[in-house]
Amino acid sequence: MQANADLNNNTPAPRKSKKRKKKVNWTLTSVMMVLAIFAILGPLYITVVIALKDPSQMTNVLSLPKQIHWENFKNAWQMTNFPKMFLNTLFITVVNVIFTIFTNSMAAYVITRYRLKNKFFNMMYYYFISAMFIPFNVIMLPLVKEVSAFHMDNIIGITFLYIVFGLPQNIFLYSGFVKEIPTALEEAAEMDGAKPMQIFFKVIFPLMKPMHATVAILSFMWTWNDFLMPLVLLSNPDQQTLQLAQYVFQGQFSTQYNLAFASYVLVLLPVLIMYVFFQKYIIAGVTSGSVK
Amino acid sequence: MVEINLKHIYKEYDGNDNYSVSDFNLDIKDKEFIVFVGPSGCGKSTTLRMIAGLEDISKGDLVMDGKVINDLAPKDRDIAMVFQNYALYPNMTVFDNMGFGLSIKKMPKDEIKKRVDNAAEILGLTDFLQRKPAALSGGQRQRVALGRAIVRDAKLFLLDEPLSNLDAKLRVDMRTQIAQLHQRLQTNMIYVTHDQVEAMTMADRIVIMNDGKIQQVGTPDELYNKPTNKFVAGFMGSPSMNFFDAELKNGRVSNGRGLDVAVPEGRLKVLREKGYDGKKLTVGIRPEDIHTEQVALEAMPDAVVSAKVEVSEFLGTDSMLYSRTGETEFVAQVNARDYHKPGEEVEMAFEMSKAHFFDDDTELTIE
Ligand SMILES: Nc1ncnc2c1ncn2[C@@H]1O[C@H](COP(=O)(O)OP(=O)(O)OP(=O)(O)O)[C@@H](O)[C@H]1O
Ligand SMILES: [Mg+2]
Repeated sequence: MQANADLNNNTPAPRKSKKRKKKVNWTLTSVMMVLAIFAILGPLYITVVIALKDPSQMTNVLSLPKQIHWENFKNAWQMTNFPKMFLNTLFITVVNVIFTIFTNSMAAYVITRYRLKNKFFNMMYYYFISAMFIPFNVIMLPLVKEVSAFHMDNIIGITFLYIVFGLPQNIFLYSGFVKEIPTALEEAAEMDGAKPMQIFFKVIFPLMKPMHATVAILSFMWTWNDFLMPLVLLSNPDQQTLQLAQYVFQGQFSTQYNLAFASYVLVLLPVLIMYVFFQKYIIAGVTSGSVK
Repeated sequence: MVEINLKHIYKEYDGNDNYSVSDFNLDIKDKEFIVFVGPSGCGKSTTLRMIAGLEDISKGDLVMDGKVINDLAPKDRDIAMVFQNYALYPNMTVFDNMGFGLSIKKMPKDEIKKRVDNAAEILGLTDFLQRKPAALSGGQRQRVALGRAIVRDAKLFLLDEPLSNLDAKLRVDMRTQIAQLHQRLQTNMIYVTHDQVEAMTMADRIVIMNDGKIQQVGTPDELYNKPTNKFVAGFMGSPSMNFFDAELKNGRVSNGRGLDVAVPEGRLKVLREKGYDGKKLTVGIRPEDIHTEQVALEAMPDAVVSAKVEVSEFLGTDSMLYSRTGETEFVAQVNARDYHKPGEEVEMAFEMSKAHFFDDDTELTIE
């Protein structure tokens, strides 16, 4: 849900009509902008500054570093076993996003199309949606037991769980979207001789593009940033994720802030890059979806 | 090549109390252009969708080439359909939209290209093949929808109100294009419309429906000149037929409120044989069978009423006179030379040899 909040902050409201000419209160706008910049860039500034400092300089968190300690990054890289953890996390995230898009859209499509005609599918719909209201913490401990009983306390297992745990929210998202796709399209494809799978993959799936983008970004952010599930499920040090690796800085006697922050920056970078890259798609998706 | 028989077909939608289509019986001959016509909600689309296989048949048999195909999946029926709302695939170009059915059938690429190019040529879509449907006008989309159907060698074409969203001029253009297409393709077509002009101009045979039931099946000429009941008589023709509740007495029909005209000998004989002498019945006469010319007045002296024109519409070759005699209102369609201003008193002759007579209770034509 963290990801959701970010998303709303950064995507401009798409429905703002250009025709409505209201006078812009520039003073107020500027004040708000400055506040927003401070709220977002302030902490980021502190993070970067600390990451470049020596521990002795920590008394004033806002001050610029006297000398830039690039070696913080190198140390952090080594301490967290960055390449290994990065690949682990990347694997979980990418596999999760791909499978989520294929399986969850398919499930949502079937449920949405049949739920008005068939009680079973209607029940499925409510079954999945109701799962949205169960906090993860409640099922956390039983889940740990279950997972170890099935020997799923590894990367593959957790990837599977991410795909499944995303279902409620994604079915909710996809379902609203599928409802808007006219059934006449499927009927036309059926008359054209297409089988159900062909109808889905050639006609429906491409139409869901805007929603795929949304779901992909939400799943990516969630999996990449998740700390809790890897913490309780992944015991083998070789199989841990980047977020989990940040734990090493929480030393018994002191927390190595400079290294920790350098490491945070390292973890943050891929997300930022992806985010900037995806944002274009999301904005394009939202507008093309609404104009049609 | 194909013959389609609809045998006592019924449709009841889940949750509805009565049949949306009942006892639908029709034999469609090879190469025939059939038009389903009727008011909104009469079951035209439902029947079409049952033929397509998109809707289950509740009762009865659908037979194609001698085989019952009630349970055959739509994709196996070899039927092409044009949907009322086009239903073009928004993510595909015009070319891909038209070629979709062929590529599903794994037809070689160059053959697909040949067929699509050919169809695009016929429909004037050659310049738009690489566009997406969103970048087309309504008429162009309509043609793409048609094109998607004609590239396939389907046995049967189903068209559900394909012209309803077009403007009047384009509609007339497309009407002739579809008629030409039928000539060229020589396949069965079933065409749904609620516009009786479309039905009259295009059909080999018209099936006119009301309330889920077939009212009459026949050529445009039969439906227009020999309607089997009051509904058909009223539905076909524009402006529609004038109806009067009247009584047959002494060889004349009168309603006691202004209308009183003689019935010609031949028609009178039939009415008397059927026992309508002295009884109530409904008289129907088309606007164009009411005349104001001097010759007509002289030829039918005992069927002349004097009426007051209340509204008159000049339509170029004709004019419509919305008139009243006593308390009886009717419309006359007369030659534009006989234009009369509102308020004028005009003598009008009812050409009763062309009139229709209906039973008051059953509303069936008396013949
Ligand atoms: N899916 C459905 N569920 C229940 N009833 C339906 C359904 N579709 C149609 N009907 C009913 O069946 C009857 C016939 O509908 P149909 O769509 O065949 O009419 P139509 O002749 O095509 O009308 P129009 O000219 O308005 O398209 C209507 O009374 C309608 O309410
Ligand atoms: Mg209809």
